Amino acid sequence: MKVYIVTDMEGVAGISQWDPRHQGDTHAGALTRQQFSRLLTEEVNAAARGFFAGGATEVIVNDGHGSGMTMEPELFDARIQVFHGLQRPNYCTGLDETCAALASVGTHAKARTTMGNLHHTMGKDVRDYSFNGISVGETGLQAFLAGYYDVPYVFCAGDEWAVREMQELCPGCVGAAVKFGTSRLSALTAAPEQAREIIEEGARLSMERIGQVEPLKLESPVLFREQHEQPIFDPENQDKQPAGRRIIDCRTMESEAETVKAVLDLKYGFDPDWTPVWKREG
Amino acid sequence: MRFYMMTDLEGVAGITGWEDREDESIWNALRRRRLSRLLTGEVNAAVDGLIAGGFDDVIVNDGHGAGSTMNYELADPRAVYMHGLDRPFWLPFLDESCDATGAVGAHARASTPNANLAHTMSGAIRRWSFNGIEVGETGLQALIAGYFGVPFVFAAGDVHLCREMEELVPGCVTVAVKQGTSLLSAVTLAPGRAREVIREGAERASEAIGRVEPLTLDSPVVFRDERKEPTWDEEQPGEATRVINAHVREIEGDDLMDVLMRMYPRYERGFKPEQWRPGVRA
Repeated sequence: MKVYIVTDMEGVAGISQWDPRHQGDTHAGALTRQQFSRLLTEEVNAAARGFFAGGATEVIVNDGHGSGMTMEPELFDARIQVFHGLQRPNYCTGLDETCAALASVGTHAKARTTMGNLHHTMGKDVRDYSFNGISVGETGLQAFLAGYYDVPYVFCAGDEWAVREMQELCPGCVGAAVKFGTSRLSALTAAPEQAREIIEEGARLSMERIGQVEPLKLESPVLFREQHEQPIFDPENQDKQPAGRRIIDCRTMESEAETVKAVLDLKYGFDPDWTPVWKREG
Repeated sequence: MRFYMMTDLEGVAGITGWEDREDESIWNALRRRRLSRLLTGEVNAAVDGLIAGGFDDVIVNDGHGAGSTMNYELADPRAVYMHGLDRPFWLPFLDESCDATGAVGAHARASTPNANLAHTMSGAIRRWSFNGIEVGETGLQALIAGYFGVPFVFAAGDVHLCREMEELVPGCVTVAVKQGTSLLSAVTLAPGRAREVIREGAERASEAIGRVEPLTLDSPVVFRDERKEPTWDEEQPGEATRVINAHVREIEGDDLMDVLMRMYPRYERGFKPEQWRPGVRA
């Protein structure tokens, strides 16, 4: 049984500020980034321990934050495999029908969750994303992509506000609330050591939910709508858009395709036919 | 039994200079890491003592500077930690549900002769008082706690701060970990010894509940804000109820919280977060 974990940094216990990589090249920032990296990696390791204890035979981790290499390889649990790096061939590479479950660690709430610590969706400019009218953040988007492969989203570790968001979207999934956002830049947090215990316990428990939690499904065609805070689209550029992409107004773009996978490939310009080498060679 | 602990950096043993977040040298980045460890060691000692003394719920406010000064990789897993910027209030979660409050790493108020790193909030302030009662940061904490009926029972820091709090809230337990000899010098205990005495003192803190009266003020409350430099202008009083002269303003309100909301308009009036603790949400 293979579990796919998407990781992020903003929902990790002990972190309440944005990744210092955005704040210039300072010595203090470099040390902070290394610490954040360790904090994240140990939460992922805790989740992996829980999944293995709950019956997982394989854990694939998507190092999802920022430039895609935020985790600390020197601390990886020896049993996990980590997908990391830039210039990725598609969204959530390796998440497919061979996975038994999707989980997220370091999860933050979606944009406009007032009290969510470091709440955002992708960039800081996104106001809302939705699929067929259902509002999602990053993790909701991933849960829908997993649903395309009939994979259920079963576990959310992160800010209490992210846990609530995901439990509303995917009833029955297990949450590990390791902090409680009190504003965008502040939170009441568990100490990392306690957070790891909670995550391990929650991850183990969530393995029992496989088969109980429904994979998230959407009717075809899938309409993806993105709204931005700033006016970034020029309606006069409509004729330069690929088929299926519509500029609604200067803040709103819609993408329409048959499936969630197709709509994400369209939005991000990924090759829909890309196949990993392990599948090409059997 | 719930304890609310405020923390600061300037009253920690082994620290005698300002943090200086502007100096971006490698030396200062490493020095700040050390300050962070020293603070966290004292907080852990206090948490350990408080729990030994009967508290089973400890909220720590990472109060210094940018609001995330502690080293969470070292933090005691039995407490929860309020950290970050952009807070809805100076002391979130301090309310009538707490049984007692106290401070670690505390420094004396501005203008205290010979006190190490004495100041009140910022370097601009010469003297603060509420209804004639002179307070520094820790005194203000005791007043806010008193507003909610919570006694201030424990202080660790510079001996000058200890005397300040003994006078303000007779019967509280104080632990002097250093003796200020001037603004920038002190005779300090070794950090290991400081942690021992903090732990011992914190263990006795619960005994002071009932002995120490919550510090309260009669209505109306008049806040007097005296600055080192000429700051206030009668023709543009801002939030001031009265500009007394170029150095002094007064703000008057119905009660302490009313005055605080006038002092800090960015704070959310009536902010009352739900009681939250980390855990698995199944």
